[in-house]
Amino acid sequence: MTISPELEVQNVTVYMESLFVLDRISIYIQPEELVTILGPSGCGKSTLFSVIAGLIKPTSGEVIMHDQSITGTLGHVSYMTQKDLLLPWRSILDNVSLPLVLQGESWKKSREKAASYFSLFGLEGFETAYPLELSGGMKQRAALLRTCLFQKPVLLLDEPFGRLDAITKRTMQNWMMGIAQKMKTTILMITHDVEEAIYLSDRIYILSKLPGKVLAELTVSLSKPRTATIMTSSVANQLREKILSLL
Amino acid sequence: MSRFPRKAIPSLAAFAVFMVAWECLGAFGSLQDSVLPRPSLVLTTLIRHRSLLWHHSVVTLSEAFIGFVIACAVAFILGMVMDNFSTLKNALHPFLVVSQTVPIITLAPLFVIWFGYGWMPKVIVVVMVCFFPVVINFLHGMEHVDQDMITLMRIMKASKMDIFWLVKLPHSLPFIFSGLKISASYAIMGAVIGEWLGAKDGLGEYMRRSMKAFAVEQTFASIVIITVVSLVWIWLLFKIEMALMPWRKTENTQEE
Ligand SMILES: Nc1ncnc2c1ncn2[C@@H]1O[C@H](COP(=O)(O)OP(=O)(O)OP(=O)(O)O)[C@@H](O)[C@H]1O
Ligand SMILES: [Mg+2]
Repeated sequence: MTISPELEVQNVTVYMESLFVLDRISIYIQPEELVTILGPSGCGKSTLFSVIAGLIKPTSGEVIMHDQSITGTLGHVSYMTQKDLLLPWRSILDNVSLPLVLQGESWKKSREKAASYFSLFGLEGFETAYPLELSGGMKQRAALLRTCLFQKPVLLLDEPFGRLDAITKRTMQNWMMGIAQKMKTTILMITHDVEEAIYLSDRIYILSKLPGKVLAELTVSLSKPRTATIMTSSVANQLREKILSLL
Repeated sequence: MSRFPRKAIPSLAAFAVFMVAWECLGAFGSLQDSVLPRPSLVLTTLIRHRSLLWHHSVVTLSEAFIGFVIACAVAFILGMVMDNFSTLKNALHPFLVVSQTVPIITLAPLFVIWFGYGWMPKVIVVVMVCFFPVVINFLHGMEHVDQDMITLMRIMKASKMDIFWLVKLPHSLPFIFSGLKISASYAIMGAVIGEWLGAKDGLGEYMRRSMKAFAVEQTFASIVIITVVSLVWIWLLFKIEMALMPWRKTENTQEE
């Protein structure tokens, strides 16, 4: 490997009370890579993200970023949780400005900066709306923008499209791939949708049922930018078969 | 908002019918004015005693309002502190809950003994009765905050203060306001009862004098004032609540 990984999880094991959740997980992600973690429901994917984000201290193992241990410390990654968690009492603009404000920026400057991304994220015209007034897809984009504005080198996305209908989902996936390329971000993403994993990823980690263990690491050698047609290519078909046989 | 709510028409009509019936029964002698004075008699009393009633109302209202404001401030600060220090909360919470079952009003004579016949014992009674509903509701609201939201704030490295102002307080506002509305009616009641026990002036004292003189229409006049003031007070709180929580308006319109 020529470049050192952006982020590395080394042998992370997690017990929650008496529940064995994660079993010696080791994964890494390179700069500007999009890696997905694919696994059955309840296998500990969100728990793994909580560990990376520093919300949970693993029973054993380390999280390394740029050769430094960040195990159990907060604020090193931008993390989008499974629920959008927009504050119902704040406008979309305020919600999205939050990470900047919490980093010490003034509300005025934060709003200005956040507002400049609204058209890119398909949110223009909804600055003063409350979260309740937005569609599911828009809420998801707002949550994604808020995550991006935390401005950490690695984005953790926990099932960002999990709650969307099939059509919205595909639109959002295409849009996100565009954004990822434009912003040159490194993305680690959770999904339990095989198609989504193949369509978006550079690499895929397959996790087992509880306790979550890495069953396989697959490289998706499909060229980018991707379109719907590649999903029927032989490479995609082989991957799909491989994944389904593992799960 | 400006258009008259149509749903209110039946209840207003019912009220009018009730009043007219009452007036007629009184006028034809079925009801004695010394027992249940006619509405018109109460109205003339209100007009005749207007400057006296105004004076007493101002006294009572000031006591109630000052007590209410102090109670809110104390409840807010205590709620904030208790939420921040869980040991303190665990220590005090049982007392708060138990003290709610004590009819605070029965302590009023004590305050008269300690602090005499001035405004002080009244304000203390008001503070005591208003304080609990607000603080209990406030704490209840903060307990029911979505923990995932707090987690999200922690992910973004928010401080405890940030979490309080951005998440816990706005989430608790509806709870606080339901506490405030209970307290608002307690406030005037507290002041009036304080005055019953002995005062130089105030609506409670006016009522006591009316009672001694068997002036039923005067007692009714004070009841009318107290009722109207309570209603206005709660209506104002409702308006403030709406203004402070614009996001709830969208909640309501979506339900329609
Ligand atoms: N706070 C908790 N306390 C105890 N057990 C928990 C807690 N959170 C999750 N678990 C358990 O840990 C396991 C892993 O949960 P996790 O949320 O990480 O799964 P997941 O892979 O993200 O699932 P999903 O696909 O449904 O989001 C589950 O079996 C769950 O029941
Ligand atoms: Mg999950």
